Amino acid sequence: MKTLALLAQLQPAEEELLRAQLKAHKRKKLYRLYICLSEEPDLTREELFERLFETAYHCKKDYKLRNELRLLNQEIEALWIEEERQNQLRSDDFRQQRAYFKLLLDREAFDLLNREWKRALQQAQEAQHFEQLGFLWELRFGLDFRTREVKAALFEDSKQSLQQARQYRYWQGVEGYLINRGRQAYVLANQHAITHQSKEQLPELPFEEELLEQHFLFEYLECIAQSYLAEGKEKLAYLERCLALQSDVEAIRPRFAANALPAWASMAVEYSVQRQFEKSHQAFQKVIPPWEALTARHLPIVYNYLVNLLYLEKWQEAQACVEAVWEILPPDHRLYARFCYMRCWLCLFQEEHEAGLDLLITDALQRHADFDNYYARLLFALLYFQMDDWESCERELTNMRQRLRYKKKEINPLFECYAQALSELHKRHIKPQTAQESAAWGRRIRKDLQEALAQEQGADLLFRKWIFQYLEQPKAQAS
Amino acid sequence: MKSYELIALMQPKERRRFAQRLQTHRRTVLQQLFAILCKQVKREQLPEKERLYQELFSEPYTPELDYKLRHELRLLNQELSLFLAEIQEQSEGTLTEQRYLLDVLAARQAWDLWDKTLNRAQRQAEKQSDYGHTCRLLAEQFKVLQQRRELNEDSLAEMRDLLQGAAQEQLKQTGEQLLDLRIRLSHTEVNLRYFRPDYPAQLPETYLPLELFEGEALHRFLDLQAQMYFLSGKDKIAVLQESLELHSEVASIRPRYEKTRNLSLGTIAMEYSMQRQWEAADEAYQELRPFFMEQKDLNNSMQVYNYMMNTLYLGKYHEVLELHAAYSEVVGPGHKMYYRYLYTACWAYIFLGENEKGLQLILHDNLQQRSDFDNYYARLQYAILYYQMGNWEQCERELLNMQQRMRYKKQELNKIFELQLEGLSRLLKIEWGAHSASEKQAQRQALLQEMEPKISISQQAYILPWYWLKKQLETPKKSPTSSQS
Repeated sequence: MKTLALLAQLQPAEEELLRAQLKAHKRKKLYRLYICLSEEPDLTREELFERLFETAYHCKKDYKLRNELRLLNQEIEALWIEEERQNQLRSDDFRQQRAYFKLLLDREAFDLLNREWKRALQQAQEAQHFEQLGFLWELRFGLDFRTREVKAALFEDSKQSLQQARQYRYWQGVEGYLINRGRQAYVLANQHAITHQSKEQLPELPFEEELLEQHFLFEYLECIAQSYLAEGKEKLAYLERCLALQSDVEAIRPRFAANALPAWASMAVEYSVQRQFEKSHQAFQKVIPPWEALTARHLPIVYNYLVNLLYLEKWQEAQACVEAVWEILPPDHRLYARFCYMRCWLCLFQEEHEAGLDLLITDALQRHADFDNYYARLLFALLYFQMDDWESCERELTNMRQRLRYKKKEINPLFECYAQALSELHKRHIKPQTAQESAAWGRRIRKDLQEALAQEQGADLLFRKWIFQYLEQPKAQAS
Repeated sequence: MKSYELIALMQPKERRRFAQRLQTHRRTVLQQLFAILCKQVKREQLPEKERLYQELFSEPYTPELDYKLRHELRLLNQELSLFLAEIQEQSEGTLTEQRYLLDVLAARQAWDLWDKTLNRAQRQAEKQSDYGHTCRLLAEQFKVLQQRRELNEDSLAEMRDLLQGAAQEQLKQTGEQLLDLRIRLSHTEVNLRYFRPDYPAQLPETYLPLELFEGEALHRFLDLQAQMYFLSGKDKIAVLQESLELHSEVASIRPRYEKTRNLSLGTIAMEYSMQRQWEAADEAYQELRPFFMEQKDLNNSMQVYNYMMNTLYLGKYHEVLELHAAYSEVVGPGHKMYYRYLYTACWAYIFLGENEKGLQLILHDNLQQRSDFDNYYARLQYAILYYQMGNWEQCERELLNMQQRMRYKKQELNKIFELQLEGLSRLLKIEWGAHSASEKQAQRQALLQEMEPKISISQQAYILPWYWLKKQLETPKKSPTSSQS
């Protein structure tokens, strides 16, 4: 029953208010119905009918109950509506002003309107509030027509008012359209990320592109939208332009302040993708909160930050980051496994192999999707390799290869390549060579790997870093 | 004092509600201030600052303490403005209210109720083709979807549909607003041309390409309404007829355009009339007639006047008199159309030969106070009536009076009346002169030939005197038996 669902949503203060209103209501049955339902919500329809009408229920009389229920629903909804109306009007001065001015016009308070109009226009201009400006110029037109003598001067002023009103109404529409366009771009980018299908472009603008130059807000919104879909340098250019306009935009649209962090974050990630790790690091500085203020909301961007720290070999900062993350990271968080892997890399580079293994062992591998599963196995293999536990290393590589054979995926060649490289390393490791042979082999494998990894999209930089580091300083050959 | 003005705008019931609301306000002094001001409003007496201060704070007013009163008044104004804004919004329909309800339910995550309310709101918004509301509802759905569902292929596809729908609605809403303003701007343009004939009036641009709104009856209708201002003749009639075809569909979703049907019909009639297609014009007027007779509204006065004129050309004099009788109270003395109504009815009497009635209708003693046009027109009709009554001396006197005024006041208007004056004077001379019947006939013929081209180029408003003159020349009158008044 809808009424029960509505009643369940009432807060104590609202219950009190509703009770008082229903008590004072000329339809006394509503109060009785409310009492019945709030005190005995399990009553059957028949029982409720009998309590309310003091007569036996009959399906032919059901309409009477339905009518009372509908009226009670209306009362509850009206209570919320009025509360919400008051809240929203109180919190939005421009909206309140529009409704208030409309009433003044309807009630022909022309003098008062004329006195207040100019100041209202100034406020709206300062805020570049297009809807308000459009409204105020329309109001000016209406006011002039109702109060001034019909002469040429009236039409001259009317023309100006209407032209202004049209321009601002147009801009209001453009702003709304561009905000929506930004959301569409966000959805398209996510669709691309999830489906891996080719990235779709936004529809053509329904107005002249030059319009974007008429107000910095439009340029800003279009840059936001395009930044979702662009890649590489183009994406960075859009984001840089957004951030250059950010303070001007925030001055007139404080709600867009929330765009700054995602823009810096996107820029940081994109620089990282472009392997401009230092620039990325600088951009991350704008986004990453002090560790004591870290919350779960920050985790996705902190993950990217951690990856970039590892690329930059900023081990100490990475360690601090990891420690801060582990303070708040719930084990069921969707990024838990990824954070584990990054922490594992840190262990690998810092040669804390046992700690790395501990992290992986707690992770339920089979639950993971393919990529994470392969990745975990690769890390296992690397750790075992470093610990000279070749048997375990080989087992992990074999498991990985079996799964790769069983599940054909786009990512397979990449992991095949990793497994191959690791096997090669091991073979070289157990078969002693002269220093000359070793150097020649090192050059060849380096070249092969570089070519192989360059061909694979999304080749892991950390793996490459580790493997080249190994080639620079191979570990002592197994005895 | 703004507070006083705002309270004066409120109805008693609203004042009671507001007083109740102030009871829960933590600043109790506002209640007192409101009560004092309400009393003053009832007495229709603007409160004196000093007395108001004394009554409110129970201490004498000093300019140094004025800020205290100002502060309370400002707070009261804030509350009053908010209250009045709420009243205004309450009158604006249920769609906004449903959005408020959706916000409340979303904040409480009562999703079942939210879904039901959304469906109801969407149905209503779609039924009314309320693009703004539909757009906001779709955007709201998108936000809620983000909140309720994980990002996956399905949810993203759904989001995309919602956003695409919202973008369409957004464009339609902006298109409607812009086209609506374009109509008003077009109206302004033609008025500017009226006041300044060299003004290059032109159809304002649409900003958004109209192709975006193909198939939308409302947008096409609004486009036609603007175009109409810059067209004439057949083109204008075609545009108006197309807009009439769209009218019922448009009025069902935008009741404010309900009246446009009658305006369009009136303009079609007027256009036909301008082209002297009296019958075609009459067809449109006959459609409007029930409305004119049912709602004798001042706003109809111009259209009814045009209708009367057209009816005169068709020779349906009794219908003219009927219309005049119906509107004589609406268009009373003081109204700018008053004399034109009288003159039109008077023409009906003239053509019916009911001269006394005609004279009765227009004979007023305030001739000098009328505008030049009304003055000349009255004298012309006097002259005609006297001529028809055979009182040629009086007729001549009126013509002389007219000539004198024209000599005294040089203006463009004179040219039109001078020609008519000349025609009438010559007619009078022919009829009065001591010529043989055949000579008179020849003179009449000559005058008729001279008059014909003048009639054909004459402006609509001044055509009737020529009609009358033509009729006189074609059907000669017997010499008056008595020319004494």
